[in-house]
This record gives sequence, structure tokens and C-alpha cells, in this order.
Amino acid sequence: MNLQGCEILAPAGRVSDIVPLLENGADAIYAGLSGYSARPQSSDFSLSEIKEVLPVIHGYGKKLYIAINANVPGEKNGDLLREIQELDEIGTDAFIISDYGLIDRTVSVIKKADVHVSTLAGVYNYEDVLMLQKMGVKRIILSSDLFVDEIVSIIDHVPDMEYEIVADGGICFNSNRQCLLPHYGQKECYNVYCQKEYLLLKDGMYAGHARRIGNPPGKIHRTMGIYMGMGIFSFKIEGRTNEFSYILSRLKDMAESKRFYSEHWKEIPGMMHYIRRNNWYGKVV
Amino acid sequence: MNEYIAGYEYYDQERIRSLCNDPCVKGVLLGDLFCQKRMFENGIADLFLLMNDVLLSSKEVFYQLPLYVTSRNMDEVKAVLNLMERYDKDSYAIVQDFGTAEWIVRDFSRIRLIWGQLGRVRELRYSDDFLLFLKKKSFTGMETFDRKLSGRLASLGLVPFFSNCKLEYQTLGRQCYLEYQTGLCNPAVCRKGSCSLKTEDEDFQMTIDGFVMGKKYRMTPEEDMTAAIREFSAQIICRY
Repeated sequence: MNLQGCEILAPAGRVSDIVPLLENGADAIYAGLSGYSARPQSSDFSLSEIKEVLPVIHGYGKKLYIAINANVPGEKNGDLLREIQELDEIGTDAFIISDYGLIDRTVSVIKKADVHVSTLAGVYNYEDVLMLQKMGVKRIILSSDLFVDEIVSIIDHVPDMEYEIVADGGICFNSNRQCLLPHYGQKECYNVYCQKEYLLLKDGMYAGHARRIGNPPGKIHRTMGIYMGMGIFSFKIEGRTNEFSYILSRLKDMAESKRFYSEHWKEIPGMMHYIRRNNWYGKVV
Repeated sequence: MNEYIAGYEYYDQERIRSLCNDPCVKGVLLGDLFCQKRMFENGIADLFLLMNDVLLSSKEVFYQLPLYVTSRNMDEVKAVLNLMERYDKDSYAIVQDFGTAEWIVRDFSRIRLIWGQLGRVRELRYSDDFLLFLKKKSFTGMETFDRKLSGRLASLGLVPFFSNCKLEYQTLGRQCYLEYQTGLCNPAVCRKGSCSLKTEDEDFQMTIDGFVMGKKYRMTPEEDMTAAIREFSAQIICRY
């Protein structure tokens, strides 16, 4: 557990987002690569925009990660690998990738950048992590479908790996990897059926109001210390397509929490006792 | 009719006996993606017993691993694989993550790997790099319901395991919605799907079926299946 190394990772949907994010507590920023991310194109960054913002981010001593988390059809592979190499040469700090084939190819062509495995890749157990570690992956963004004890088991088995969680936004009660409820999140407008009000029917007859299918997006900033104690290094704020003022407010909350837990880090082992039920005290770095 | 792999939603001893005696059945697909109580009267215990019956027969075993193989169920999954490995015959495991595939290759020499329909991210496209990665990781083939993808798989030396239907479901995630809503684990209601949800403001409805909500299967067009067999030597998985 190294609290000094804890990172808050913020999303950027436009070039103009960068400086306010850096000045409000982001330790690193991620952006989608135009044409290859799992978000609407309008929130992605072109190669020239990345070239423009990279020196600014590095000037603040912070990092830039580029998300390439859409599955890329064969005919675009060559172009994408050339872009990855170029981004690596200009100093991109890491690539966030979900396609295992692309991860395999990317680690063989990049020289400086790290590879982070996207939450969409579906890492569920330590065997997944060990395999990715052997491939040269630096960081695992854990699947948001995992329970706390499963996260602890993964980190205990492979402690020498960086772990990131989706700490704010995007943590749906639904399995976000497989859910097929009508959800037009890939388009410009959203229509999210898991957030609607439902009636419960039994054999077709009204039986009362149903419980919510989808929870509102998760906000774990107040319990961040527990995740730090578990060994999570990076805390991602989701939502490149959200209103920027909303992202900024979430970032401020996260940064405040980080400050709080950094000042009270000695209390974390005590908290972890109830989570892990073992002697955590000897493990504090 | 061509030989096929039979994959039922629910098994008991009688059904297993009948499948084992059916000359059209090449193999039997056992194991629920989420909850063994849904597929077997006595949950995991029946999975062992009934799989053993298939292993003792002339039919091949296809084990559908849980969608999420985690620290919670890994020992259980290993025990099932150990049972398959004990018999002097090839068996198949349908997996959805590469780490699990890696230890199956490492520890179980008689078990062949198939990449499952649900081993995917949000979209259904598979890059060429991904398919080559399957090959690199010793996969025998991949489950699909797509004729074009069958061709791509065959051209790379992977066997298309063509499913008669697309598993199309809407899930609450890893918590059973039925239990979440009613507080009870009730496989009979779950299998029957007698509970459903309806939006208040529009005509959108889905059934509650354990972990699964909504239409489970969309049938694959017959001509796609026939073409996949004829053109790409696909093996057929029939789910009921």
C-alpha cells in the first residue's frame, strides 16, 4: 500500500477540458483516439489534438492515456498500429486497450508507453492478470462486475501489478459488459432502460412496483481509503461525454478524498481489518 | 440430419439417458453461465453426476464454464475439469476469459478450448488480431451464430461451432434479479419465467428469468446454419 502513488484519472472530451482538469486534482487524463474508442466520435481526440495537449499535460508533471477500446476490423489494423507508434514516439504515457489481439500487437511495437487493459477486456481472476503480465501489460482496469473479495484475491495473488477501478460514474448494477437492455449509449443521445420505472407482473397480472434494475452511477470517493487499502492504485472518473461541470465536480470530490485519506492513511489498516480479517499491519509501505 | 451438440436449459437423468442413446447427438453441453440451480434440480451436485453419465457414454462432453470465473467459483470449475480429464477421451470447455483458458491448457491435456458466444465486449465485431490470438492461445474453435464469422474462423484453421441461436439476454449482472426482487431463490419460477417487468410509460416488457431478463434466444436463420456446415465444416450446437 503506497498512498503517495495513488492516482486520480479524469476523462477529457475536448481540448479545452485539459487545463481545468489538471488544476483541479487530476493526476492523469485519458482521452479516446478518434475512430477507435468506445465512445461517440465527438468526444474523441484526433492525432493533432493529442500532439497539442501532450506538452501541456507533461508540463504539469501529469500523464496522458489514450483509449483504444473498440474492436478494430482487419482493414484498419495497419493504420491503427502506425498511429500507436507515432503516439508512442511523441510521449503518450499509456494506451488503454480492450482487444487481446491488439494488446498483443501493441506491446510488440511500442518502445516507451505502457499498456493498460480496459475494463471491457473482462479480467475476472488472477490467471487473467498473470497472463497479461507475461504479455507486458502494466496496468489492469478491473471489471466493474467484480465483488470486493474477488478484487482482493486478484491483488493478493499478483501484487506486482498496477490496478485501476472505475471509481466514479459508469458502475452500473447491471453487468456492463454483457447487458443488452436497450441502451443507446454509443450514440449521441442516451435512452437508458435500466433507469426507468417498472411495474412487476406475475403471470401477466400487476403485482406491485419493481425494484430498480439499474443503480445510479457509483460514487466511491468517501470509501476510497478501503480501495487504497486493498491495493488499488488508480481511481478513474468515467464519462467523457458528460457535462464538463459535472466531471469537474466529481474530480474535486475525488481529489478532496485523496487528500483526506493521505492525511489519515495510518487509519486505513484498521479499516482493512474488517474487510480482510487478517494481519494487514505488516504490509503498509 | 447432421450430428449436433445438444445444449438444454434444464437437465435430469432421464434427459441425459435419452441424449446418450440418440445417434444424432454427438455431444452434450452442460453447465449454466450463471447459476447451476437453474439448469439442474440439485445444482452443482447434479452437474457432476450427469456429466459423469455422459463421460461414461460414447458421447462427448462440452462444459459451458460460468461467464465469470472468479476466486468464488474457481475451485468448483477446477473440480469439474478434473472430472472430465479423468476419462480417456477428449472433452471441450467453452470459456469466456483467457486466463482460465491458459490454465486449462497448462493443467488439462485432454480438454479442448472453445471461445464462448459471451466472451466479448459490448460489440459483436471480432478483429482479425483477436481471432489470431485465439489460435495462438491453442483454441480449437469459437462459438458463433454468424455465417461470415464462420468463414473467417475456418480460414484461420479454427472450427466454427455454429449455434442454432444467438443468446440474447438482458441481465441485471451477477445478482439474480428474481432473488433481488422477491428475496427468494426459486428455480421453478425462474425457469418458468412467470414474473415480468413493464415500463410505466411505454410498452417495453421483459421477463425475469433468474439472472436473465428478456428474450433468451434469437434463432439463427436455417440457411446460415446449412451454409456454415457445407462451406466451413462447422459443428452445430443446438440449444433448447
